[in-house]
Amino acid sequence: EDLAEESNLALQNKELYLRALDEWKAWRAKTKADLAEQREALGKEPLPSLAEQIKAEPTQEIQ
Amino acid sequence: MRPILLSGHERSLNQIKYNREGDLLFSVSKDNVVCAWFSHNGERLGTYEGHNGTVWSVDVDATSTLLVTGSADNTLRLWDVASGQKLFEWEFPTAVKRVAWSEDSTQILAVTEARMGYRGALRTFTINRDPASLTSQSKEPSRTITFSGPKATVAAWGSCDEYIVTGHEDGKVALYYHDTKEPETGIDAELEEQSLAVHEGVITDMQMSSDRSFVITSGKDKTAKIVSLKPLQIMKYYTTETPLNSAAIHPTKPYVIVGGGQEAMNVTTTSARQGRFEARFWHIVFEEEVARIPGHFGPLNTIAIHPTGKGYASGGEDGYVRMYWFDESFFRSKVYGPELDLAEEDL
Repeated sequence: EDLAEESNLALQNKELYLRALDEWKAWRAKTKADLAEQREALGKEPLPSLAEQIKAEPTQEIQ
Repeated sequence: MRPILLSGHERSLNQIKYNREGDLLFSVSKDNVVCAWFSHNGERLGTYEGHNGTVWSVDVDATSTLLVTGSADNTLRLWDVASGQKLFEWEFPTAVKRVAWSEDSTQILAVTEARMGYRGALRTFTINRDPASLTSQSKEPSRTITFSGPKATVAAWGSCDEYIVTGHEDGKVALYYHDTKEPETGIDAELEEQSLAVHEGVITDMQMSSDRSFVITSGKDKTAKIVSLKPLQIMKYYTTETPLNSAAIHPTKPYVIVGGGQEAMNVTTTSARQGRFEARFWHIVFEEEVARIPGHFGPLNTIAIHPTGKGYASGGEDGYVRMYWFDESFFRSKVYGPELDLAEEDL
């Protein structure tokens, strides 16, 4: 019975965590869409990730 | 994960900042000196000398060409990163507590202290970026927001430089629309678009997410919070047991790093352990602490995360900057298991 209760609690906790994750993903998807819209309205290119930006730039080596 | 200890300052650190590529780290301190360090080995690249008071704030532009600093000597200074030469200086009636470059690196903002009858203010300046005439800048701000209510302690530019966000001594976060072509000058109450009580007390730090769509704030009320900007709304709470001086968002893993600590004078009255001079890692979504990294012998005053997320650095009241490169296991680990992991594109 204890094991069953423990497993039940863990399941409930997991559901809470999954819900928090889903809410976060939904919020970020919306803010990213809003940002893309804002950039388009201002005539700016979509925002590449920082890694992409750095990769696209030539590197300069200073001795 | 062994730290690289940067020991070039003689007094407590006020702010540290990586450049956009992350190969350089800039630090400012109460010893009046601005330092630039190579982040891969902690070697000091050089110093920017000339301030006659505590340097409170520093920021470097997106191309790592120009550096801006704000100081208790009531000046805001523009420097050439490579040569260390001072290019321009603006003088104010009170100390400059916070500076920041706009996203496109054509404007800077400066927050000045409220003191001796002068109100706190936020000024923006348009920067002449012509390499031939960098020493000739406009003395006049493009806009001034004067704080009639609680003064601003921190400020930053929002996405596309369309908004300026301020954090105040009473815990308020406010949003100001910023029209680069016709910037409006006036009293905060008239210009403020939206505001929200985020902390109970002074906001000590405010750092943008990598896409500038949300911020993390830290406060003396022992909490750090994720705040969305449009609309202003508290999204996440991180409640610790110590006053916080800084907070930063990891760009590729689901963590925020917060740091602070009881001030030294209060620690002696309790126990040394109460100081809690550790950098704390919190899960950004689940609001749970997942790790602590000790090291400083005093409160952590400032935290910066490498722009690619490969490491982080902290500046302490003890006068040291501790710089860390994360081990490979940090990037492989899924603290909550694969099912509850958050991918980089969802951050």
